[in-house]
Amino acid sequence: MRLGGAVSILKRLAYLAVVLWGVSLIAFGLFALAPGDPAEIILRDRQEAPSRESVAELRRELGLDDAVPLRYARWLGKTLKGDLGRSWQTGEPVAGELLARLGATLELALAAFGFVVICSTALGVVGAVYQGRAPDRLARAWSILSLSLPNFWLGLLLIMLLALHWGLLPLMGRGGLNHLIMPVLTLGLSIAAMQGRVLRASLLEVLGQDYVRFAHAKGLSRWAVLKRHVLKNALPPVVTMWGISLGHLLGGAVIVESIFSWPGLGKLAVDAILARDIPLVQGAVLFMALVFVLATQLADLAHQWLDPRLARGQGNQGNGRRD
Amino acid sequence: MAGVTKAFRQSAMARTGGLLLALLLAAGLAAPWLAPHDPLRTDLSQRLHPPSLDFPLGSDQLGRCVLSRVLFGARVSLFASLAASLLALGAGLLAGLAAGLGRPWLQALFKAALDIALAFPGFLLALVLAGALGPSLTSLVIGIAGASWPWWGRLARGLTLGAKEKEFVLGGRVSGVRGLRLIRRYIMPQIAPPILVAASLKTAWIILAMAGLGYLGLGAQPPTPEWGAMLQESRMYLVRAPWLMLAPGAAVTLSVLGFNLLAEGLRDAMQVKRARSW
Repeated sequence: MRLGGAVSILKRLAYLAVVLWGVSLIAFGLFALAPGDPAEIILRDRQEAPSRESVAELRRELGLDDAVPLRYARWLGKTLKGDLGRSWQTGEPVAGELLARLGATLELALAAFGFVVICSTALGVVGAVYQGRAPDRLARAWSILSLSLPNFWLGLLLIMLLALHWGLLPLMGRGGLNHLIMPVLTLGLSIAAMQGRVLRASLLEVLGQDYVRFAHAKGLSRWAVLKRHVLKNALPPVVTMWGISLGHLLGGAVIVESIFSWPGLGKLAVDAILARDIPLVQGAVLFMALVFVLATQLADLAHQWLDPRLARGQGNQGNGRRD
Repeated sequence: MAGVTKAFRQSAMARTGGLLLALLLAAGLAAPWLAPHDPLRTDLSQRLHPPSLDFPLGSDQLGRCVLSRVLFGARVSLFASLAASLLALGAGLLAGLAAGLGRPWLQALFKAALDIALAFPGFLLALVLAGALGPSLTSLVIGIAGASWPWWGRLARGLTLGAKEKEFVLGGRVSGVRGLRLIRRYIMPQIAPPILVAASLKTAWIILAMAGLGYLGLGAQPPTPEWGAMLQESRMYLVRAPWLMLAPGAAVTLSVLGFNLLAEGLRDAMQVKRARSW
C-alpha cells in the first residue's frame, strides 16, 4: 500500500515534468517563430534607427542566427537555472520584474478568492436547500446573468457609477481596501456564480442519498443534517473548482488588471505582449502556467484526500472533473 | 437532434436564448439595410451626440453612428466567434476521439498533448497566441481556437472513454464494427448531447474572450467596428458620453446571455451533467 502510494506520487511527478517541458516548448516556440525580427524591435525600443549593420551585430550578440533547436536548448538551460533573460524594454532582469509584480497580483487574487468562496457557498446552499422554489430560481437567474456579463464591461460600469458619478471609490491603481472593491467584484462575480452552481449540483446529489434521509429520519434538524452530513460530502468537487480558480487568479487577471491599472502580473503580460517584449512575455507565461499547473495538481490531490474513493479507482467516471 | 427540438418545446430558457441569438444574427446579416449610417464615415461636426432620432444610439468621438457600428460589429464579433468555435470544436473532437479510441500509443500521445495545452489558463493562451501572430482579426480567431480546442478534446476524450465501455458498444466491437462506423453509430449518439451543451457554453466563453482581447487591442484594428475595440475607445468618454460604452457592452452581454440560456435549457431537457466553461 505504501509502496503503491510512492509509485503513484513518482508517476505524478514524472507526468508533471512532461507537461512542464511541453509548456516550455510552447512558451519558447510561440515567439521564437513569430513574425518580426527581434533585433529590429530591440533597437526600436532603444530609440535607435535599425541599420543593417546594427541589426546584424545584435542578431549575432543574441545568438539569433543559430538553429532553432540550439537556441531552445540554450534558453531552456538558462531558464532552469532561474535566469529568464532581460526585458527588451527596460533592460532589467525578467525574474526581478515578475517578482516586483507578484505582491499586487497575490493581494488581488487572495481577496477575490475569499469573495468567491463566501459567495459561491451562499449561492450553492440557498439553491440546494430551496431547490425549485423562488430563492433557487432567483439564484439561478442571478448566476446566468453574472456569467453573461463581460468583466471588462462590468468594470467600466462600476468605474462609471462608483468612481466617476458618485465618487465613492478610487478610480484605479493599488492602495488601501478601497482600491480592492471594484477589481474584486469585477473578477469574482462570475467565478462565484459558476461555482455556486457546482456546489448546488453537488449538494443535491448528496441530499438524495440514503444516509441523508436516515439522518432526517432520526430527527436531526435540517441545518444539523446539512452541516454534519451533507456539506462534508458535497465539498470535494467544489474544492477542486476552488483550487483551479485560485490558479487562474494567481496567474494574474489579465483584463481586470488592465481595466483598473492594477500593477500585477496580468497587466505586465499584456503590456509585454503589445510591446513584443519577448523575454518578458516568455517569463510571464512560464510563471503563470507553472502556478496554474501546480494549483490544478494540488486541487486534484485535495480532491482525492477528501474523497478517498477516487484514490482507489483510477476511473474517469464519477469525479467532479469529468469535463 | 431530437433532443434539441425537445429542449425548445420544454424549456422557456432554451426558447429565449435561441430567439435572442436568432435576432442578433439576423441583425448582423441585415446590417447593411438596418443601419441608418455608414459605420465608418466620420464627421467631426457630429461628435459625441447623445441618442437622438438621427443617431438612435448616439455618435462617437469621430462622429460615427454608434447603432450602425454595433450592427456591423455583430458581423465581426459574432461571426468571428462562431468561426473560432467551430474550428476548435472540430479539432478538439478529433483529438478527443483519437485520445479515446486510437491505438494505445496514440491515446497516450494525445492525452499528453491535451494535458500540455490545458496547462495554460485558456484566456492567457489565447492572448499569447493572438499576440504572437500580431494584432488582426484572423490571428484572434486562430488564437482563440488554438486555446479552446484542448478543452473540447478533454471533454470528448472523457465522454468517449465512458461511452466505449458500454455493453452495446463492446458488443458492436466484438461483432466487427470499427473505425468511422463505430464512431458514427455507437459513440456519437451518446456523446452528442453533452457536446452540444458544452458547445453552447464554450461559444459564450469565446464571445467573451473575443471581445476581451479586442478590448485589449489584439483583435480587429480601427476603424473596423468590433464590440471589444469599441469598448476600449469608449474609456475616455465614460462621463461625457456613456452611450459609447453602454451599446457595445450590452450587445456582448446579450449574445453571451443567449448562448448561456440555450445551454441551460438544453442541459435541462437532455439531462446533461454540468460542464464547466473553462
